[in-house]
Amino acid sequence: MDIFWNLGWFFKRHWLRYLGCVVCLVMIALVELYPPRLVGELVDAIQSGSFTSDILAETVGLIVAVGVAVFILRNGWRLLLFGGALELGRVIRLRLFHHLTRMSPGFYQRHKTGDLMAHATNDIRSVEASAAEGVLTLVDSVVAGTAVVGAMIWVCGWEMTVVALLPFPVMAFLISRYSAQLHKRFRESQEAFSNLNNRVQESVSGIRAVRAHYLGSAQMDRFAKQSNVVTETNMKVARVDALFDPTISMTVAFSMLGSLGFGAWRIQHGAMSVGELTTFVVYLSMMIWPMFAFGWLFNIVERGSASLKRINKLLAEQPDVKDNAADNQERLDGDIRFVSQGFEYPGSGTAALKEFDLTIRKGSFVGISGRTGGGKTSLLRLLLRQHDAKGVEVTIGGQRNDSVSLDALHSRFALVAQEPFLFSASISENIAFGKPGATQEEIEEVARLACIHDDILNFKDGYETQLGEKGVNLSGGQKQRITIARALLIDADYLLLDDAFCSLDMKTEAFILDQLLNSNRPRTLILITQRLTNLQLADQVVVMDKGEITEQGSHKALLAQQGWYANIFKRQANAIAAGLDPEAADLEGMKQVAHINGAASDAK
Amino acid sequence: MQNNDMTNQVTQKQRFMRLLRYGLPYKGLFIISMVMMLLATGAGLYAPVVMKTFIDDHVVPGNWDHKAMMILGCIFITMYIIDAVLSWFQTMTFQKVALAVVHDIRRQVFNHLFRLPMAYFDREPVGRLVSRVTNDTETIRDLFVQALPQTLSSVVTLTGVVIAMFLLDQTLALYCVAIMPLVFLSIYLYRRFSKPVFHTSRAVLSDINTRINESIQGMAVVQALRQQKRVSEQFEDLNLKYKRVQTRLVMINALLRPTVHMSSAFALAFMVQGFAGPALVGPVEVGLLYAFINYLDRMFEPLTQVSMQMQVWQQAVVSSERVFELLDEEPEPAYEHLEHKPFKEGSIEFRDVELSYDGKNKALDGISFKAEPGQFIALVGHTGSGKSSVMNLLMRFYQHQKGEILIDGQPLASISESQLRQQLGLVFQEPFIFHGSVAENIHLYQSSQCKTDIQQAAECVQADRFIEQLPDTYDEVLGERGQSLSTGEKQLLSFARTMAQDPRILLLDEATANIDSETEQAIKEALFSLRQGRTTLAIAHRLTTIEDADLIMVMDKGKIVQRGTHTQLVNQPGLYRDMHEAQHNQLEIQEQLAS
Repeated sequence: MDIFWNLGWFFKRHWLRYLGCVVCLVMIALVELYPPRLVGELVDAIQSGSFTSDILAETVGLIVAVGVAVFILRNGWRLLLFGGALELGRVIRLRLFHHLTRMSPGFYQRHKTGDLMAHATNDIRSVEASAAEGVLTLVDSVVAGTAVVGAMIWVCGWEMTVVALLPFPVMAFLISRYSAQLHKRFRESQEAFSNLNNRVQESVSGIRAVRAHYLGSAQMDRFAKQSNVVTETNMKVARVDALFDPTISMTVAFSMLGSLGFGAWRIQHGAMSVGELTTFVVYLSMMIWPMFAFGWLFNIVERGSASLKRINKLLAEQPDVKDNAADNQERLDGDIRFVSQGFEYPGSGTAALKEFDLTIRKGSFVGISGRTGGGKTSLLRLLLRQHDAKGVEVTIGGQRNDSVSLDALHSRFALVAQEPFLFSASISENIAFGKPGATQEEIEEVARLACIHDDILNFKDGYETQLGEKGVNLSGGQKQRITIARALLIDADYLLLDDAFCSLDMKTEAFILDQLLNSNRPRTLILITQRLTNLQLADQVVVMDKGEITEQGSHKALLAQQGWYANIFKRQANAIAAGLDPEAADLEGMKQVAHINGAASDAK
Repeated sequence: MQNNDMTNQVTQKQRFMRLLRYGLPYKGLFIISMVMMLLATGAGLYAPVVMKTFIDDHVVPGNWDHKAMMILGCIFITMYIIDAVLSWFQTMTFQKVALAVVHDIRRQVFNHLFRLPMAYFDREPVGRLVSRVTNDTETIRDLFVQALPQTLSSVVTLTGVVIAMFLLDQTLALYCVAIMPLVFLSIYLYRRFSKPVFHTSRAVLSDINTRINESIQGMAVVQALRQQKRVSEQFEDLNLKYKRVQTRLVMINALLRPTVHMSSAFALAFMVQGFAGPALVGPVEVGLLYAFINYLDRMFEPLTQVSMQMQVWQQAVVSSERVFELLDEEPEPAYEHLEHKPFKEGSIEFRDVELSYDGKNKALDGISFKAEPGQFIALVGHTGSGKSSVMNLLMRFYQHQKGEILIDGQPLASISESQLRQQLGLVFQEPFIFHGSVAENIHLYQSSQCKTDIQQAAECVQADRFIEQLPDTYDEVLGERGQSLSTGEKQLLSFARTMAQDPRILLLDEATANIDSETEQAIKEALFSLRQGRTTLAIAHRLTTIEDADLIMVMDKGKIVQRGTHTQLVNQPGLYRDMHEAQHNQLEIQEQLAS
């Protein structure tokens, strides 16, 4: 029940709405007691012979009037209560979304997308249900239940009432037992279903492998087995679920039998009239809903509480990276310097970065390479404050990167991440994602720089082509080039490319890099890459391994060192040239390669 | 418009009949269930008549015959017990049928997926297909286990109540039934008005979910580009839109749902009028009033039920439409039944083969070549030049339009499915790891393979080294898509898989991904051992790996533009030599720099 307390802020804010709703429900409970009483009096009037057509007209008229009144009251509470729940859902959904926009990458590593989605859909729905059906069942079970019992005692006395209600506690006990069982079995069936889902997911996404390895019938067998498990667990749910109705109707039967038997005895002894018995029996049937509502209430509230707890827990999470200097909008500029005393990701147990001191000159082109897990991407993460840099001091132009607001910090960088991510929107909206007001000319200019303009024009709707689920699927290379265009459009002074060319062929890669290096726009360029040929033009190459800087210097100097860099460069010499993926074999590509090579020779 | 609606209704009816046809194998159980339902309903409806006798024959006239009254009481309770017990068994029988039907539909949909041409999977996103097999069949399940039995029992109860009323007292029954048109009208109106709103609301909800999902996945981008505020605002627009649509649904509900209740009040008023009117002129039976009040309750219960099940019906019809759409997709020709003719040699021949995926552009144009048994043939060319299409045709993933493909001189289409899959070993560019143990991923559920076979296969391709490092070695369970393994390890695992399969023909799609140099060496050696004694067709991205090929085919725009051995190709002008020269230049410069 604590959910009503925890949602208190909402009820308080909309107190008038909920007051109106409760008033409606209470009035319905009271007004509905009237018709059975009218019928009983009518029966007594007939029995005693004092029945007239006036009494009949009055009774019928009043029953109709009550029907209409209840209709209007029901309209009222439905609008108020369900309307309120929708507003609550909206507010929580927005709050959750807003919260998500504030969370750092660490948060998204801890929580799976599916999990977060469950919060935003199922959990919000069950909180809504608590604020709608929950309130309804609470008020109805308490108010309507009390009203009916009160009316029963008032009409026929407490003895009759006790006899009639004897079977009800038994029912309440049984129903609560069933509910607990049902809950457990339902969860099992959900689990079985989710396994089935995974099975299908695997078969469909690996359809080529399934076919190539002739696994069709094996997959069908596994699926049939899992589908059987689903059927069995569903059957187990049904076995309990099917008990509810018979139990209720048996309760009503025993209650009815008891009250009629006892009622007959009282009538025999002149303690009660036939009309009163009629009224009583109708009241008895009105007890079913409040009892039912009571059982339902616990179910709804239990689920709602769990959901609200989950949502609140999520909302209570603070961003890993605090925006301490949120008001400082100062523009940082100058050399970037990392002074590392060692850094490890929370809970990882091993150091992602060890001790080093690295300076990246403003306006230079710096290449970073090394084995996976060497700490290259971590450098960028700490620079952008995606993680709290305990143990690493990052300064830009001598000022710590946490001395300004996150917003001001991010405004200085354009990042192209390893995994290209695009939104379900048009291509031009995607390119202009970081600069919503950009003109078509600006968009096309960066698209040309990123070598994607021609590809885009080849789509049916050009720049207006929709991407994502309802639109076109792009190749990995196309996606990557669009993210490059997107980063170029925001025109930041520091361009960070995290393995941003890995899906591109050499020719395109060389072309883009060449454009970037030879443009009039002075930029600091940090390029993380596995393809060392890219780094022949770099002002500085940094090789990282296991969190340490193992080699550092110009391309030439590193080749002379005969270390990892020289070794891999030679190995790639064989591979790349060949690996010159066939695409680069045409003449245009040759020129680009020659160009880079020429530049490298010049640099020498 | 009217016409459209009509045809729409007709197809909806057909669709529904088609759904019901899945129940045919279970019609025996279904009939038993229906008989139980009729008996239970009859017993339940007879109980109030017993009580009526109790009141009218004993209580009202003051005839206190205790023995007769006890008997009536016993009959009353017995009726309820019969009702309760039969209802439970009836429900269980029905559930059994319903769940079996859903199981059948599900299996049919899932199995049908494997018969569809590969082009279908290129067209349909994975998520959508998964949803067809699981979520849509789940909605159909709701129809079978919930809406259908509820509706049936509602119809039976309603009919039973009306019959019982007419048997007891015709005039009174007429008064009660008079209210029915109002109820049906309100249900009709409810359907009419809620349906379009309901559809919009689902569409908006799905937009919202898509938006949240996408924002979660792309939050790093949103934050890096500082668009948190704009994205939040866009979300709020959708959120508000959803609330507005839902509010309309609430309003329709608020207006039309309580009409059933109001109708029941009116029915009571009518009945009182009908009951008490005659009392002005003569005696009436109070017990009759009891019975009718009881029946009235039962009469409105099924009506509320039916209106509540309406949404389930609507959703099930939409879902079945989607499911049937999938089931009606034309399957590929079946190769399962073909005669099992083992390959002896493993030669491959393409004769003037033409392939188009879309019917307009040719992906392959006049491809002819022959690979003699044991030869090593390499395909090189740009992305989109047609290399993969050659593989796709050989794997029978797609159907070519012109020409002939022969394996050991037999047309590809005459080779049985199991034979083809057994003898053609495809090594994927990105190997797919199944959920299961390492051993299962190697033997792929071929029960004929024992543990030593598996280990041998792994050793041959040097996969044993990393497998031995795993905590549970060969029994280590690999999660979804083998996330715990590196790209190189996945490659090696898939080599072991092919080694265990021991095919006559090897199809290699070389990986382009960056793999650390140690693993790369292992992969190179593994590929060499894989090739031994097999006809090999390889898509090469690294030219160094194919210098010893018996034949290299250079592809461009769906055609083979050059063919020959490495030495031959290097000595003639063309694409291949350009590539080779580039390689040469590159090496020279690098050596220069290194010195």
